[in-house]
Amino acid sequence: MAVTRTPTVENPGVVRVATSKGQYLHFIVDAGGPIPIFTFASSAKGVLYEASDFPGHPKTKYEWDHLKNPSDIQQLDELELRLAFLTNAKYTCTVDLNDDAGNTTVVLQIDYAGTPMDKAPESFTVVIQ
Amino acid sequence: MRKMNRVLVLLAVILLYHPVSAWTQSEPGVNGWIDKQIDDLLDKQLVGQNGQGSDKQRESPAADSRSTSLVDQSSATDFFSVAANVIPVTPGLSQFVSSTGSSGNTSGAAGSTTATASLYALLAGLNKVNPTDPKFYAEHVFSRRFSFTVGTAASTLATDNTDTPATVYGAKVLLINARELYTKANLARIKQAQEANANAAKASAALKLQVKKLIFAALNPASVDANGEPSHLDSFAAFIRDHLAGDANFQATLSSLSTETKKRIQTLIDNSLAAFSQERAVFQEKYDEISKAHQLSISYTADIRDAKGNNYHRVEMIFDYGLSPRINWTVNASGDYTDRKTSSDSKGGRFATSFQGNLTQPDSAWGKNPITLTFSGEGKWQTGQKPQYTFESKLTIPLVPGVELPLAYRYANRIAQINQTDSEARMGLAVDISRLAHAFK
Repeated sequence: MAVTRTPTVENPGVVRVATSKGQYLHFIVDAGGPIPIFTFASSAKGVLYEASDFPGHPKTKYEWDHLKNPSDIQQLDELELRLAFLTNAKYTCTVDLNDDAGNTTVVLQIDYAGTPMDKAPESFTVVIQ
Repeated sequence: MRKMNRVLVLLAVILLYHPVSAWTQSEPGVNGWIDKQIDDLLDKQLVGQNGQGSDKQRESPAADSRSTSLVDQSSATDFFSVAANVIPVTPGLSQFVSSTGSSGNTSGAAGSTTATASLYALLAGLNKVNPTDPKFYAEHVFSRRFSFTVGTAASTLATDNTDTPATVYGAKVLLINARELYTKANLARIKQAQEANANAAKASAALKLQVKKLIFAALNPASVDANGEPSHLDSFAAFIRDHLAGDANFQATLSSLSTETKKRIQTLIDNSLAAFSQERAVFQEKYDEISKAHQLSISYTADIRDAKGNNYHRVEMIFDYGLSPRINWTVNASGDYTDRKTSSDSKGGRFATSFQGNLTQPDSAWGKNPITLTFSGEGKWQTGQKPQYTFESKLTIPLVPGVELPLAYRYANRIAQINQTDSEARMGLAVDISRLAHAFK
């Protein structure tokens, strides 16, 4: 049981987001198929999304914004994306820091490959500025 | 010359069979450390076993007398595979491994090669879609029930009445496939796995923040409020970045913690363990339920030869059942018909069974398959012939993802038509094109 984790941009552990300046996080999960299983959770609000919540599931690309909606904003929130490989062998996760002006910075980008019993948690702390 | 060929083959086996070292790691820093603590604790509670389907047939059909597979399995590859029995029964090799001697009658024949594709793979190719595309996979469940085989099989004068190779045709229909992900029952199991994953994600996010705050408070007591919460957010963010996020920095931080702080971290982890334990148990249970489910298929295989040669036809029922996550049991029952041009035809039946066990864990879902050991037995009863009983043990070694080397030792009480016992070693090559292509992506 071992996940092969290959970062293109390594998880920084902490991400500062200036929501007052229109910054927000954009998450992308690319899945190899056939049936992705993953959860996006927050330490403050619990489970935010499951793979099956997305229209068109199962599919190859899942995308969502976080902190764009003011109700998402929580100071010192730990965000976790937890991937499971029971019915999906490969994932690529990308987190972008966007702003309303259209600027984008890649916060993390990581490829994963695993066997059915594997899971890959990826988390970081959000500090709101 | 033959000796040299044998040496070259053995050398190729040794050179090709080396473990592929995967870059395996978890999240860096404190998060990865917490994940490892959880896994270590769960390992103590549960001994999980994993497996990868030994029910997928990647070799030539058993009706091909040069196949390294004595017993057919209910499902073919989901995509496309090629099997070549590259070393037929050479007298030298048989004598080399057998103490009972060998028959020269089947020796000297060329090997056989077959290619098998599922209807699903053909549709994916025609639509220029990746066969693992989730949407395409979900929309074409039915097409994974059908597979087709074409190829050639060697012939010998003694048993086939010609030395011109036969053309092999085959088709297989999976009548019952309880291992298909898109059955109602399996979709319900996947939903339960998703729920367990969600509970673990929620627990993990909360636990990791608690541990980070605890370490920060222990090492920066002046920077936390009365509740132990960081009073300076920038300091906390900088602390995570500089002392917790990287592996090397975190190890130094961990070493500097007092025993009391380490105990408190351990207590936090222990108190959160239920969600992770449940996640692991649910995944193991659902994986077992899906991978051990039964399959039943019906197949037709024909070896068609030239005007003089014998044609063989086989209609077969195939049943697969997972006895355990690592052991698959297969039963074949078939009706065989031998169409002879120069003597009377034979009709008869055949019963065969095998147990396939995974000796190793799979590399990754798209990586190398596990090494498998298979024990098989077959009984054939045909008109005008004495009963023939055959036993086979086979070791299948994955060389690289998508390429396997089956090594089989087979003993038969007699070879049909020539009343001679036969003991022989066989070597083949099975290539799963999709898996191989995936490895080179």
